[in-house]
Amino acid sequence: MTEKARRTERTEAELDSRIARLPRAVEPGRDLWPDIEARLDTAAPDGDARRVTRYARRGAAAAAVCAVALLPLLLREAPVADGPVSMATVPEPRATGLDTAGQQLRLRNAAVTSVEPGPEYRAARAEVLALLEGRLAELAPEDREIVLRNIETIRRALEEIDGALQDNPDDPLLQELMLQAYQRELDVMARVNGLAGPARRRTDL
Amino acid sequence: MNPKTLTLLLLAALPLAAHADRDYERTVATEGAKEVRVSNTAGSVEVKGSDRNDIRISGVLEDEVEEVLVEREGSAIDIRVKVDDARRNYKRAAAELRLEIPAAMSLSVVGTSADIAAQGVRGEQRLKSVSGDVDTEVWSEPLNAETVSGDIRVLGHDEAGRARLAAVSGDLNVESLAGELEAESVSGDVILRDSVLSRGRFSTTSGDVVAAVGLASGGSFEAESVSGDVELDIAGEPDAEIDASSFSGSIDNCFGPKPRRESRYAPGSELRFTAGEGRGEIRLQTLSGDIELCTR
Repeated sequence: MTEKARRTERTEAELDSRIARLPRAVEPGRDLWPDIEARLDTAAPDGDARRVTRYARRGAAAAAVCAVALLPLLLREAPVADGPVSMATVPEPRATGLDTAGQQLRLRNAAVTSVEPGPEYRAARAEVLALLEGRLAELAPEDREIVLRNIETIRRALEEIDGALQDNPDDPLLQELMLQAYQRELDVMARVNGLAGPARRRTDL
Repeated sequence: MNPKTLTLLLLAALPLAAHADRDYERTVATEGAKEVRVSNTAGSVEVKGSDRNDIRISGVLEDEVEEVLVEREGSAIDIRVKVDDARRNYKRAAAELRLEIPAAMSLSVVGTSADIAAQGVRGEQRLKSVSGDVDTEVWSEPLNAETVSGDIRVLGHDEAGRARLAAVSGDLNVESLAGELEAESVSGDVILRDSVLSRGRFSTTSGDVVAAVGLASGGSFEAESVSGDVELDIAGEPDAEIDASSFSGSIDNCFGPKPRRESRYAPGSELRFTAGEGRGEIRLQTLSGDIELCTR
């Protein structure tokens, strides 16, 4: 064993020992329940809100299951390259065409909803996005702005749907709209990639 | 005129000479080709279907357009506006192209900021531009038109065909189309008039869908939007299963039962009923957009 490996082992052992010494639970200094109960009563004097919360929890679980089950349908039409793609393998874009770091962050953030898209969706999106960032650089600034603004529109729509879905997690309309919105985002990115390529050198459509 | 004045005049005229547009004209034999493919970065492409057997190309080229390449590739004829790569600045690289082609040939046009207009082309069409508008008419052959910010206008001739239109912010305007139509835009509106569809599918994110259509027997019409309104005017007596739902928008219908609230906790409403014998299907969905359903 090298000296470096021995040092690492010692550090890990020390960390394990410190973790083991941590208390399993931390008791609050006072009873917190009366305050919580009072707030719950204020929020739901007739008990409706508590029922909604209970339904919401069950519904959220159902929505998550539905979303996970339906995502392969969504991905079927997504322009994914052959073979598995992981987030780690997505190359950094060459010329991004994005004017601000905020735009980059906003676009690169795959999930804007509490129902997380699956890893395959994220990988597909990352791949389409990497190409898009390069393509945007080839567009005129006003066209680039239009594309970004419209992707923002879709993302705001996703947030709006998500907000509604959190209050009504078992609503099939909302679940469907969310999937369609995620799909539309991919479609738009793929369309821009197709249109904004080197059209002047392309004759095969 | 003294030499000094003459020199000044010549110098003043130099920029004009440097930006001289030039005319272009050429006739190409089709020799059994079935498709014309045009690529033009900026300017316009106007295509007219005619009864001639050859392809006539004419137009005006700006000075940074190097040449118009015409090549045969399999059963297609490629017409490509070549821009001087070394001097390209996109400001003087436009070509205004006019083509007359045999009406039955298929047509593909791709541009970046070029407007595309086709008239009298009866073959299959694929028309794509980033910021240019697309304006065409169709008969029974398929049409696929895509833009980012350009508007798309399609005039049909009531012959059953298949069209797929997609824009990002552009509006989609369709008139007198028959058969199958799929149209989607993010923020652009989808407007459909005087058409009879066997299958229609429309989707937007914030754009409105406004459709005045007849539904073929057993046909389907689906429209969905997140925040855009959906307005459907059905020609004649509707004969379909109707399913309209909005999460927080209103539903207003002038036939059938009144919509009902979906949930006591949510503001939205839904409307489900059978009109006529229910042979077709009409499905309208929004998140916050309003839905209007009527007959005319």
